[in-house]
Amino acid sequence: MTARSVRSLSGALKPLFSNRCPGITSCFLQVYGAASCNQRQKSTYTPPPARYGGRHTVTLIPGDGIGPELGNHVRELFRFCCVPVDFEVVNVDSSVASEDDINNAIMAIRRNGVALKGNIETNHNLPPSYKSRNNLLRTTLDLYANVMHCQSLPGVRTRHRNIDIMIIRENTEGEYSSLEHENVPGVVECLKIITKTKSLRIADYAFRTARAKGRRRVTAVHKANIMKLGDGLFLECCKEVASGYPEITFDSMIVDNTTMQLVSRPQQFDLMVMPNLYGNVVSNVCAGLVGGPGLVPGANYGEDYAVFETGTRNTGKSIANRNTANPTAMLLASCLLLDHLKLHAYASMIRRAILSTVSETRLHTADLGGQGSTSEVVQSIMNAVQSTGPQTLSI
Amino acid sequence: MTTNVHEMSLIYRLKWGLSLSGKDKIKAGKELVSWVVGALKKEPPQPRIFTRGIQTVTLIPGDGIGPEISDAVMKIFEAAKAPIQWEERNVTAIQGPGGKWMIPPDAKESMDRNKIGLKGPLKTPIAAGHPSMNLLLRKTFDLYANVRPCVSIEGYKTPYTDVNLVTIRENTEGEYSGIEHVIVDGVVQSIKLITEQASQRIAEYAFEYARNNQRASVTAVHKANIMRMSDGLFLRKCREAAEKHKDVKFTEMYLDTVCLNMVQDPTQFDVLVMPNLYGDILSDLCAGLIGGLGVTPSGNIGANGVAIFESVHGTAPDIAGKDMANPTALLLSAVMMLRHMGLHSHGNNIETACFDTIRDKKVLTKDLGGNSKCSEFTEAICQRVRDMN
Repeated sequence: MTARSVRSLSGALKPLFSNRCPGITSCFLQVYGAASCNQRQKSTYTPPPARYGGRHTVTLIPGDGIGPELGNHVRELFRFCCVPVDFEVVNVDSSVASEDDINNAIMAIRRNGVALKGNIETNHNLPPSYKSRNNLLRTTLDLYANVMHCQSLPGVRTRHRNIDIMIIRENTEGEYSSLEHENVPGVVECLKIITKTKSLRIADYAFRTARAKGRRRVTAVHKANIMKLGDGLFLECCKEVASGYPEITFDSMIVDNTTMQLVSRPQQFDLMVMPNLYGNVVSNVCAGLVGGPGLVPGANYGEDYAVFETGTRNTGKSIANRNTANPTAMLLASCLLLDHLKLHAYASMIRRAILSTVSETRLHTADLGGQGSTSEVVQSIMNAVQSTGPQTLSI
Repeated sequence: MTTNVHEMSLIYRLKWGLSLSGKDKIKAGKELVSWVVGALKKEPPQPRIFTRGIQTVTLIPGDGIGPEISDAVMKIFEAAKAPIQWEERNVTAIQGPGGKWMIPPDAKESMDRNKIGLKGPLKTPIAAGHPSMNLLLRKTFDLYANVRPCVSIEGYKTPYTDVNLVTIRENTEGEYSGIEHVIVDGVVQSIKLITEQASQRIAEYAFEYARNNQRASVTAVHKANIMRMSDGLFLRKCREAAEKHKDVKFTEMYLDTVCLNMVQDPTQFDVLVMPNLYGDILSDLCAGLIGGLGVTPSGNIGANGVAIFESVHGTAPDIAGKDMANPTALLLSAVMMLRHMGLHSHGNNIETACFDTIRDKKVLTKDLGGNSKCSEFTEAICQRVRDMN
């Protein structure tokens, strides 16, 4: 059953239950009531239903490198804060050639509707038959929009200040179509596919998000002077969608100029929309500008599913299991997950605690230039949550 | 050293007139042919040394501010007494027989003769019916490598200090092959072409450059986790070239990791080699780190020993003819050219003079933050160069 059909079923059954079980409806109201007073991205969206006593089940894919330890910290924090989320852990072994693991993970995400994921390593020395697991997940579940919000955080020293850029990147086609062939030995062709449907879809998503978040300017990043047909089509679709949003300024910029502008004056950008590869470059540049891969969360949204991860998708192999990784990105991603599930109260509580910890320089991990450890940071976040008053487990 | 006559190469046995058996004669013939073919195929990758005589260089002033900055460079070279003679040529596209667009034959002949060129900014025609001039030049001379050294300029403050890296970008194929099709209405396919030959050429050049310019490491930038075959081929060729140049350290890094680390700590990079699109983005990113295209030099290396050095900024038609242009980019490209030709002392002098003038901040053009004229800036550099001599 898809998440959508389950939702419609629950909607149909709700009036039936409300007469018989007032307790359950009060639970429903508590969950939905908190949600109604907050800004939402998709106002018509309803999350997968919280079955089994009002608790959500979320798939957790630990991945490789620092993924497992960060996943554990998320679970620890959620348990501590009494967040009504249960994690279904699905391990994906990146060293085996069979795709059973990733298919299991995809099935689990279809079942639960939402997932939190660490990055799965891709050994690029293996033959092309071994596809990138992350890419497979994104394309199979049609998670077409990758959203990354890069903001300058107080307490983190960077070369540029006051950055607030939202990057919306097409996540399923473009250069990442994985269509390659070698017609003549020594000559390899790689296909970059741009379609009108997907370009319109991502442009529509970008403008809807801009309107919902009150963003004034949308910039499309492209290379249409060279790839006239491909990126030209993308640009046309963006312009078409822009005409329906007169209150938002739309402009476009060539990708090499964009990177140059980003390192000299990043404050000029507001919301940026772009195809897959340029999105990779621009999102990594912006993440670097605000303080590094340890600080920025990323979200992948599709029509029916949502998967949350760190923004720059690093495995962090070299710092795995050393208790030096920065948990901020993964924890902020888990807050995005809570927002998606309409558990806004929990989300804002945890987010406030995380931001107060990040502003404390003595707790900065190695990537921010400090010497703090991951467990210290998580402990500090838990202390901050406890001090704000809501009910928590004893430490 | 072997004295066993049978172990000596057959060629040498021929040379020394030693007797050969019938079987050996055929073998010797084959060896001779392959030796001759090998010598014909191989181009000398070393920079040319011109220690005596004046070297003629083709100068293409370009459009907009091109003529002014070319003049400035010529004046500075004269003050530095560099042994360079300029041959000015114009490159406007003309239609040859058969309707094919090409550069004027006298320009082509001059470049083929001199092998070294210096080019100002060229206007990109819109709806002129012919491709851009830069593309024409690239195709005519098979300019396969675009080299951009990015060094922080001491007097020109940017948030990034101590940048000292070189981006070497494959310039002929990759994502910019220009092969696009509309499969069905609403579906467009763009082909990225990676060939063994081009990848090998650029990888070899990158390591040669590193060796000749005392660079410690070469990093190949790729996205082979996603584009397994194409970037995989590129990587394999880079690895092969690395095997042949064991004195230079070789690393591989994903494109996104490079971008991420570049904006946080650019000092960790040395020489970067990559296919066309990544090179385009990264070289402009690095130019942005040091202050933009107005101060970034660039060189294009071609087959047959041709090298064209250029400034990569636009023609700036709004300030053309007003003596407001900044000749730094073209000047630094000209310095790169001197180094390529082996005239290191002249190159160093001019570069030092330029950097000193910028550091002094007394006469700076508008884009560098001052309000002096181009001629004043040029004169200041000329004066410093004369004082050095």
